[in-house]
Amino acid sequence: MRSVTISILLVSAASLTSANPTQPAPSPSPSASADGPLPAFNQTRTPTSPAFTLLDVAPTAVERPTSPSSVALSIVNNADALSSLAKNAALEFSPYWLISHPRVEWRSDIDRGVIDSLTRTFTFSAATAQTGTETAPVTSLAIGGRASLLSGALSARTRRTFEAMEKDLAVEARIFDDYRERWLAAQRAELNAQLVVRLTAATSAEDRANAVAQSTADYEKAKVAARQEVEASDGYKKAVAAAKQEASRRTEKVAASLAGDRDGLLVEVAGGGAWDYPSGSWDDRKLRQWGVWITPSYVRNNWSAVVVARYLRKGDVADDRSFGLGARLIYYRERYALSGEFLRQIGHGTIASGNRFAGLFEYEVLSGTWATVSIGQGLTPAGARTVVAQMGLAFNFSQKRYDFGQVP
Amino acid sequence: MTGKAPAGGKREAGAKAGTIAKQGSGGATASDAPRTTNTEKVVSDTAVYGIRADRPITLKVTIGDAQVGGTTLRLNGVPVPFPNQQKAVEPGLIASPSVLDCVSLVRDVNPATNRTSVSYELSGGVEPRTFTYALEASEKGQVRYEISFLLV
Repeated sequence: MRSVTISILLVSAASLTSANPTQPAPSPSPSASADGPLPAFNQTRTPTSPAFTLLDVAPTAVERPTSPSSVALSIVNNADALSSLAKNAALEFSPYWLISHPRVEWRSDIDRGVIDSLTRTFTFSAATAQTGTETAPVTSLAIGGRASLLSGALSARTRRTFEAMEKDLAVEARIFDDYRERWLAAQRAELNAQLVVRLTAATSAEDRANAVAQSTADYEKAKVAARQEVEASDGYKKAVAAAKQEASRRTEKVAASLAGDRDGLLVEVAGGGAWDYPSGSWDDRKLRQWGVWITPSYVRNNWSAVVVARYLRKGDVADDRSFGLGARLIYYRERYALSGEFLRQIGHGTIASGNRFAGLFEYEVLSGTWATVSIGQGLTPAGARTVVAQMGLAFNFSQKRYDFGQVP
Repeated sequence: MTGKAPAGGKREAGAKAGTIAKQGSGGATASDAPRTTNTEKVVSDTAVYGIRADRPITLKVTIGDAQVGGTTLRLNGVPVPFPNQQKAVEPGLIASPSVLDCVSLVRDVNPATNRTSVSYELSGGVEPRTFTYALEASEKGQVRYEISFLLV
């Protein structure tokens, strides 16, 4: 199950500043935000796709291959048979999950050691984009990796939900099996009797093998016919609908918001680099930007504490680099959340330095729609105090409030 | 989709929705192609497992790829209690030929993959065998595995 979080700030009501004409212009994302010269807190934490962040692109279509062959196909398709770079492409995948792991039960994934955590959470991302002009075309390429050194553990609430879901699925399977038996029982008895006759008549091992093969094929045909009868049956449809309704009362809402949630100590790390290729020339490539992120967090019950650290260095401007360090404490309930955050950025070159404190209140006005109010204070390098006040609505399509436990 | 799976091999990685993957012990035969009902896809197969008259068989069902699932069993039409699905179940001594029907319903809950897989480990017969099936679910969807074992 993959989930996507898309938040849209509809209204940015006010951003009040004690005007300072010397205040540096905001740097391009990801180094800055609408709050002023400092990036938003969430822009400082470990990104899901470092390559996209470093290239400063939000691709509308990201290829997420699910098998080694589809990875190869994506690369070949986007690299023009490996002869040139695609102009606008985005690729992301988790090597571990490219192949099936039939021995990995969810219970064996409750706790993870460091090695398991790294292998199961590592994702590779790559993106290309046109960053030049018509007269001076530049193709940029970024690659990045992300993983969790520590994944915490599946939350107790998620475990209870999964256990309840197992029982519900067994009930649903039983309903199908019971209905199917009405059509399959007679067929099975007949096939068994036929097989006994065939085996009795068999005079060689080959005859026996053929008899068994014929019976398995006949049984499969009987199963297909029985399934069609079951799925066309109004009684079965009603019984499954009732079972699903009963199950959804217990688990669906929780499952939608918490599936895969992990708590305890989580440490996410990421890194990557981006290069410019003027006129698509390999020899003329220049480092555009590179960065590393680390985000330790601790989640327990309704409390979360997050620390973020990020180092970014640009390759095209001498000594243009920034180091950001921040922390956020959050208390959240079903319908609301309170948080306080601090962020310090030390910038060199054209990147600004400064601090920001902010408090944030969020309230779910409608399912998946959150009203947010934030107020805080920033301090620019020139000493100007800034008051930051924002109101807005955020749509959370993934239904996940905070993505601390977003590690797969 | 009919044919015999290569011994100990994997026919298909099950990478795309609508493909069937099977890692059988060499005795399994595949059946119809998976089909979709609402959010539900189906994997169906009837495999052969050699039993011995003097030894009971046991079955262990493993829901893989960190997904969630539940299973129901029926031996020659009679439901087999399976209260603790994390442990092996022992249907007991079985006369040949018999049919063990398994229906496993698996839901995609793993944020890292939509792939689902179920392994059926049979032991106590001529030799232990593991039959593994895999199929990619739709997002948050379900896959129903209708796997039967002809016990001879």
